[in-house]
Amino acid sequence: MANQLALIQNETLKVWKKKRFAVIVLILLVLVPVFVYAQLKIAENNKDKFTDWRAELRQRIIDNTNALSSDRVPEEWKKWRVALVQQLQYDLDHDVNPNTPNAVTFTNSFLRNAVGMFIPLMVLAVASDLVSSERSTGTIKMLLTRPVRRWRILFSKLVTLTLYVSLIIVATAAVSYLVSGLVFGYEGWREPVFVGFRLAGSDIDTADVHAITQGAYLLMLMGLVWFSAMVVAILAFMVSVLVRSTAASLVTMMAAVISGAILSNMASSWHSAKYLFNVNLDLTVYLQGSPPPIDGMTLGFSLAVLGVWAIAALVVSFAVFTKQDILN
Amino acid sequence: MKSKKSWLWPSLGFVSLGCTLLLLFGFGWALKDAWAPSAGIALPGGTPQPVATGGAWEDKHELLVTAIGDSLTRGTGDASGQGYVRGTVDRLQKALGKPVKLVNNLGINGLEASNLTIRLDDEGFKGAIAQADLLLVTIGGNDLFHVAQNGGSLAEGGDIDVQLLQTRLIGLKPRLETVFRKLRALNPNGRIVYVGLYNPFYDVPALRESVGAVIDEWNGYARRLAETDGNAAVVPTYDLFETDVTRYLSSDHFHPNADGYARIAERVAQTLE
Amino acid sequence: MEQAQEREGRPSRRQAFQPGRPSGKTQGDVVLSVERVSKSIGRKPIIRDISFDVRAGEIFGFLGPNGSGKTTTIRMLVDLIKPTGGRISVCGEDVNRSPERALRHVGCIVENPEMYSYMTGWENLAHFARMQPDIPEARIEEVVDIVGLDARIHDKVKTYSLGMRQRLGIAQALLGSPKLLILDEPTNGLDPKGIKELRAFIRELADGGMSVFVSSHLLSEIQLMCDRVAIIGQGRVIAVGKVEELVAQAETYTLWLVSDPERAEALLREHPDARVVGEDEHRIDESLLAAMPGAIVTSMEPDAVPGWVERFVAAGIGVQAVHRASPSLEELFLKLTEGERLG
Repeated sequence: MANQLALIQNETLKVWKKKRFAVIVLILLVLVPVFVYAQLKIAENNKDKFTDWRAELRQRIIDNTNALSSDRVPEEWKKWRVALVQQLQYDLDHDVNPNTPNAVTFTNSFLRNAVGMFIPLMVLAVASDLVSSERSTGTIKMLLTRPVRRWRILFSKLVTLTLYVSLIIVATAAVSYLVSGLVFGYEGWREPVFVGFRLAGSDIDTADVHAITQGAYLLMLMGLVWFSAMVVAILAFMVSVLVRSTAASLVTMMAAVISGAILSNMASSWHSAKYLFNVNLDLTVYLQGSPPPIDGMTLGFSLAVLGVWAIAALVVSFAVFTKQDILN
Repeated sequence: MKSKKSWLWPSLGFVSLGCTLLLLFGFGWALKDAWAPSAGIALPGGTPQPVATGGAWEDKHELLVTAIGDSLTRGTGDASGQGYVRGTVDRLQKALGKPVKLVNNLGINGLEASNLTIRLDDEGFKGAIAQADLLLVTIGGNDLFHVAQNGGSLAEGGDIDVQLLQTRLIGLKPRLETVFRKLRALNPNGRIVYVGLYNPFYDVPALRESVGAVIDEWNGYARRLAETDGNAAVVPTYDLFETDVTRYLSSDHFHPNADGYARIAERVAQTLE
Repeated sequence: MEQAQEREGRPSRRQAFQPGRPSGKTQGDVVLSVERVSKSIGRKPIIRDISFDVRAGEIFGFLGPNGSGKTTTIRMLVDLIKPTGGRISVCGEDVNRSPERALRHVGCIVENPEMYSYMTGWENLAHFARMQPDIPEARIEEVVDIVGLDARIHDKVKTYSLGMRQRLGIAQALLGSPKLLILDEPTNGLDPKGIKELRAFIRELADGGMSVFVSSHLLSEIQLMCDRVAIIGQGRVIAVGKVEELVAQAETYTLWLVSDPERAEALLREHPDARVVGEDEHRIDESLLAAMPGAIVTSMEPDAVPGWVERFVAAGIGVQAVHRASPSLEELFLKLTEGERLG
């Protein structure tokens, strides 16, 4: 009986040698500077227009308040804006700049924007062919004829997947921090940011609001992003077990993730959509205190929905993988 | 043939395990913070906000302007989005030959005087008022005409009831007084410019005189407040559109259009020079 | 336990080909035992109740045309496919129930030797070595040495030729010093020289005490390589036995290339010790016939051949070539299934 650690070593090395992670880091190194440049342009523009950050914040509040009065703005956007206005107002009233241009805030906002599409796509690059590539190249015949029980092999792949999902998220944060720091400076870990805004009907309840450092905020964000990335990874893992072709499993998962992003923007009136995993992926809204895509969703609810999906996917993966006949 | 001792697996294994533990910790912390919030860190004392110094404008190398008020401040009806505020700032800059900066345009559509007095208590907004060398104010139009709730066509004067206007005017006067008082309390040195009301129904014969009278009374009241203050002015606008109301009003027959705003801006700038 | 099926009594024909197991160790212990294994996919039976044993130190051929259930059977031997009935055991361990113990004694290449092309040969071997208990680095060096890949072992597998991949596959199969080596159509894609080397190599392994299970659809290959053979057709084992004994069942043809075929044929028809075989009666390999165009196909005892040469010469017929054609698999098949039908 081969030792489980050796199996994990095997799988980890295979993913590494396939240069999957290298490609992901490369994509990050190309994309992040683009976003940093865009952010820099915005910052420069704001510097020209506004005397200080407070003025900019005030203008955002006023602009959003004005947008609220328009009848053409859909209800759910209004709700989102009301929450935003109240949060910005809270920041302004407590004289805390929520968007100091520094590497930490840039990384925070990059992660928040990446959680819905970008991170899932990168995770899929690893997860989608973890099992299906063994089948399409035929190496599974070597793998499964070794004296190791099949569940151990699948388990080692699952552990490997977890390790790489973690690496991807830390790498995303690290690349984003290091690149943006060149422009915005590496300071900002200790600056305060408010969390704990709760939605109470159409209003925001600020009773639990408290300040944490941007560094702590970043770590929490990464933790939440990691959880939803893990769920995407586990579902892709299941598809990868079920489907022989890597391309098919990649497309299936991408379709699911993208439709989730679209649904999140328009499904607020379709209530049962909240039980879909892909609408629940953006856990960061709960940390930010923005309204969730659909009424009635809370952090606990989303975690439960994602958890159930992940567990079901794992059960299917293990049941199928340990029993299936390798016919080709 | 022997393979070199590989550092890859040990380092990859430990780094990725470390990352996983870090993220698990972050995840746990996020849950703890959401469900059992801690007291939070102490906020650093805010940096003192700049306050307008007063004194002659000629001695300053830069003028700061804050605009506050209703849809006129916002620039509603101006297709170019400039409004009179931007126009005034640009004209002043040209006339004075020094940078004139708009700190904030705090105009909110449909704002009434009572809401404005509340907003002036807002910590966040105080700074914008306090640092301005020039405060541009429009308020009162919504209180008088209640455009939002008005059902009838404004071109015919809607269901404007002059009797009602008179009663509203009486209630409105103390609010304008409060606005002036609060502005002055926040900013002892800045110049306050109140843009007076005009009669949007000048071309509706039935309302030309009656509404005009109400507007006159209001503007007169504002002028008295400004005189009491000493460092404030009321810019009259009632005569600006009389020649050709339709040319200067936008399609809603209430707000000025781009040309109308340009005329207001011109008048404001002239008053200040 | 491994001999259970022997006691259960199998069809008489099959027993005839499987000489009673001698007591003592001369024939070796049973390494692989397949007992009444069947497999259905959906409702369709693919493998029906097959049984055979592979003993220590023997090269066992597994012969059958494509689509006969050969691949399915091999995959069942190594736990890639779960049988719907019966039992497969290696060294007494049930492959299906405790693969982690049974497969420890098995090295195999199923179909093509597919390895991770983005890793070097060495990394591949190290990968599979980690999946088995107690394989030191020295053992990897040893198997690389055995298959002669030393020069290229640190190159990426994607740069390897098919032959090199085959060697790497065998090296991988040998890593755990298995008692049973399973090779699925090992000569596929190899050039004649490679095939010859492989044959010698397999023989060497068997001489060292390893059992080798080789599948093929070519009777000649099995004839050249194997001690015993199981023949499978349409999901059933048709015969199990020593290769020579089985091959003897099928007709061997003698091909004559002569200067005057018409007279020679007339002569042949006159004598009872020879029989001229019609074109549609035999299934001789076409490539063979192409090399001897216009040859007369006959059936006769080997002893009769010299007499016939003399006879032809005496009759003034020039003998240009005589060839003994061993029966093709198809031929053997026909013979065996015909016997089964009759029996």
